[in-house]
Amino acid sequence: MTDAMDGYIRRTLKNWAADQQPPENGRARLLLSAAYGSHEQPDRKPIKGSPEMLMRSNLTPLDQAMQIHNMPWMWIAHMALTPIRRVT
Amino acid sequence: MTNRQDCELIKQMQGGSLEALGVLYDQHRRMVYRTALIITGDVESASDLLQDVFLRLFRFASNIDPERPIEPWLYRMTTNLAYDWVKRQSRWPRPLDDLIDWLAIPARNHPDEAYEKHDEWRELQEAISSLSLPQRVVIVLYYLNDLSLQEISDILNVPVGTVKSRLHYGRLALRRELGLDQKMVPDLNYERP
Repeated sequence: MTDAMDGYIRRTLKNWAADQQPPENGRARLLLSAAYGSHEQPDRKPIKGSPEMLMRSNLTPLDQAMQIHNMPWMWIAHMALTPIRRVT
Repeated sequence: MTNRQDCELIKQMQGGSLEALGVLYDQHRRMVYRTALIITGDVESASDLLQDVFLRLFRFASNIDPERPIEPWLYRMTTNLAYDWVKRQSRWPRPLDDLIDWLAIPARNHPDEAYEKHDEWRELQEAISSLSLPQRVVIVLYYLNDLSLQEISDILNVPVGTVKSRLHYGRLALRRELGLDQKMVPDLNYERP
């Protein structure tokens, strides 16, 4: 195998890689997920003011059922599958 | 970032420090992202894998030896997760097309250079996508991340001979796919320092 080919592959990959940047919001997203998920760790102290407290749902089962029914795809499916009844 | 600093950060992370996680993320995110991107060929999945790798680093920090370099752990986790992602995909061409479309965007700013780079990259990416997954991972770790055969062997937990074999056959396949038997290897004059 030639050195020229090695050089070609390496240079092309590195040139391309130099232009690739991770998403801008990645750090914030990671820290949010880590803070939220850290409550699942039995050996780690809970973090005060974590997003879990903010995101915990207080919805009743009826509210949750209504939430599902409010989804647009559910309405489309509902309208498509409901038979049209004669009114006259 | 020295290993000593990484060591301190890992110890802090083992105590639950999100700040230490953020610093480690800043230091190593490009390496993880680019490795995941070239193995998966999918921008969105590479972003998700980047998150997943560092979340696992945080969650399993207590299992990590702070006295050892963190890079091999990150490479191992990245390649394992990327491996799983690729295996789950029934089709390779769709994400490849997405990536190619996305790569075409800079052409608006620097038409000549970007077009040439895009063309080079597209050719190589297609060739890489034709490799078997084990060969693809070895090629990426060796050429993109400049790891030695021994380091790749340790990361993938396979013998050095297996790494050599995958590299050899991966190179042969790339050579065939790129048609390098018939044409001269182009001289790239836009290499970054």
